[in-house]
Amino acid sequence: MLRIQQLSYRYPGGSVLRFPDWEVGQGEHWLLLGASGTGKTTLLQLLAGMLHPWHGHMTVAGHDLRDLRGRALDRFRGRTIGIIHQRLHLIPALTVTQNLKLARYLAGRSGDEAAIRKVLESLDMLGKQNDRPTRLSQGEAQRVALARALINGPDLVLADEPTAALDDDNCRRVARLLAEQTTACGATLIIATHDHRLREVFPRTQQLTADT
Amino acid sequence: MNLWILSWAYVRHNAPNLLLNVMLLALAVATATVLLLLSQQLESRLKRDAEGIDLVIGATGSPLQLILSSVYHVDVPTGNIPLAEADWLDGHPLVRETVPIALGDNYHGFRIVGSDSSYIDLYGGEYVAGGPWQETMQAVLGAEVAVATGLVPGDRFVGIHGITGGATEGHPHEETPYAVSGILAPTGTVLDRLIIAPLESVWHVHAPHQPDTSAGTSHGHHHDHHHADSGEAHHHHHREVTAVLVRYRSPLAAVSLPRQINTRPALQAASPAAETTRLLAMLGVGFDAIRALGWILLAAAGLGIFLALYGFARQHRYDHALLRSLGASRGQVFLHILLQSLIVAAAGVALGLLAGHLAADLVGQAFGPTRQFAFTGRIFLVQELWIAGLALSVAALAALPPAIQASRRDVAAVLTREGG
Repeated sequence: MLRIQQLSYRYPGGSVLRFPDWEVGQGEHWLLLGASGTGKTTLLQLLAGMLHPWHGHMTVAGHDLRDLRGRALDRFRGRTIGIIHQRLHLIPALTVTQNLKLARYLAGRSGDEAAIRKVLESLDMLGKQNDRPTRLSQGEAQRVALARALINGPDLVLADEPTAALDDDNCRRVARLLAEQTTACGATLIIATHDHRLREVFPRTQQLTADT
Repeated sequence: MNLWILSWAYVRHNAPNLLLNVMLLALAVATATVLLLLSQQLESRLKRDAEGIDLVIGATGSPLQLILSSVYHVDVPTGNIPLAEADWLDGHPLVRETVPIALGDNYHGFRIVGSDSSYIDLYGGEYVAGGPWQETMQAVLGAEVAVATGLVPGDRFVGIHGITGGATEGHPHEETPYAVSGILAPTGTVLDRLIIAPLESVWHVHAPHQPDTSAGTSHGHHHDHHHADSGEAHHHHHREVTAVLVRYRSPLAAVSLPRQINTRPALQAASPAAETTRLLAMLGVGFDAIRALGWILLAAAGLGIFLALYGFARQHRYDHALLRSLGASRGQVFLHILLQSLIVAAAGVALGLLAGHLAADLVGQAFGPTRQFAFTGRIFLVQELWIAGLALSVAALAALPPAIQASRRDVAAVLTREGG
C-alpha cells in the first residue's frame, strides 16, 4: 500500500535527506524511528503530499504522489490520509462535533452525523461532542484528534510523536487506542516517534539515521 | 459544515478584536446613509415644490430669499408688492398662469397662505374632507396640518401674526377667526404643511378694522413689512401680495420676462430652478465635507480590517496549515479569510444602515416642530445598496493581501516549525 524507492528530499537550504527504501502492506502498523533531525516528520509530510520529493519514487494507496498536483493532491490528502499532528490542534472556535464535520467537509464529504456519532462513541467521547477543545483534557483532545484522523475512513494514518509528552500509563493507552482504531477501519498506521516505549505495542519498525 | 460556518465561528471567536472594525465601518456607512437620505429628500423636495413654477415675482431683495419664502415657505419674505404691479402679467402673451400669494400669519407654526384655488391646483391638491372655501374667512388645511392640529371641517381657529410661528411671537387675530372648509390629501409637497385661505381673508385680517392703539403699535413692528398688510393707508386699490408665482406659456418667456420685471424699481423676478441650483451648490460644500468624512472613516475601517486580518492570518497560520493537512485547497484558505472580512463588513453595513436611518429620523424629528422640513429615516433608497456594496468591496480589498499570504504559506514548514 506504501512503497518508497531511492527517495530523497532537498531542503530549501540545499541539504539533502535520503530515505531508506521501504514497503508497507495494507493494514500494517509501523513505527518510524530515529533521533531528532533524521527526517521523521519530513518523511511523513512527503507521504502526506505536503512536501515534494527531490528524487525517487513514492507510491501511497495506489497513487504515485509525483503525479498529483494542486487540488487533486489536496483532495487525495483529505480522503486517503488521516494525520495526527504532534500538537493536536483542534480548531478552538468549533465544538468537537464541528471539528469532525470540518474534516469531512474539507475532504469533500458530507457531514455524516451517524459516522461522527459512531467514531465518538467508540472513543467514549459522545458526552463531550458539543464541548469546545479548550474544555477538554489532554487525553480527551488526543482522542478527538484521533477521531478527526479517522473520520474520513483513511487508507493511511500518520501520527507524529503522539506520545512524546505522555507518562507511561497514558502512552500505553494512546498506543492501544491507535492500534485498535486503525485496525477497526482497516487503515495502515505509521507512527513517527523516538519513544521506544511504543516498541512493546508495535513490533514493525523502520529506522531512520542521519547518514542514510 | 462549510466555509461560511467555519468563518462565522472564527469571527464569533474573535469578536472582541473585531468589534472596533465593525464600529468603524458602521460609522462610515451611517455617515454616508444620513448624507444620502437627507440630501435626496432635500433635493427631491426642492424639485417637487418648485415644479410648475417658472418664475416668482416679489419685492426687491435677495432672490434666494424670495424663492425660499414664497415657494418653499422657510425664510421670511422680502416684502410685499402692490397687487396692481402684478396685474399686467395676467394678460401677458408669454404667461400661462399667475398665482398670487399673501403671507403674514401662522397657526401652530403652519403658514397661512392667502391665494386662490389655483395654488392648490398647482400641487394637485385633492380634498379628503369638506371642500373649497365659499366665503372669505374660510380656509383649507394641508394634510400634515390637519393631522397635527386635529382640526376638521367646520372647526374655527385664530391665526397668529407672524410668519415663523412660535407662541411667543406675534399676537392672535382674535376678531377674525377662520373656519375650516376642507382638508387636503397628502401630496408629498409643501402644500401638506400649509393652510390655504382666500387672498381677501389675509387683507381682511390685517385691515385696520379695529383701530385700537395696541394693534396699531404692534403693526408698526419690524415684521410689519413681512405681511400682506397695507397698513394705515389701506384702500382697495392698494391691496398687496407677497409674491406672484408665474407659469410660462412658452420657454421663450425665460429670456425676456425676467428682464422686463427687473426694470421695475420695486419688483424683482427670481427663477426657482436657478436659485435652487445655487442653493444646492452652496449646501454642496457642506455635503462634500460630510462626504469626505465618510470616505476617511471608510478608509480607516478598511485599514482596520486589513490590520486585523493580517494579524489574524499570522496568528492562525497553524490553523490554516491544519486545514490544508485536512485536505483544504489554497483557494479554500483564501476564501476562509475573505469570508471573515465579508462577515465583519456585513455586520458593519447592517449596523451602519440602521444607525443612518435612525439618525436621519432624529434629524427629521428635530426639524419637525419648525414645520419647515419633513425629513424621515423611514424610507429606503436604492443608492443605499451602493453604499453597502462599496463597504463590502473595501472589506474584500482589505482582505486580499492577508488572504493571499495565508493561502500561499508553506504548510509543511509551518507544521514543522510550530509543531516539532
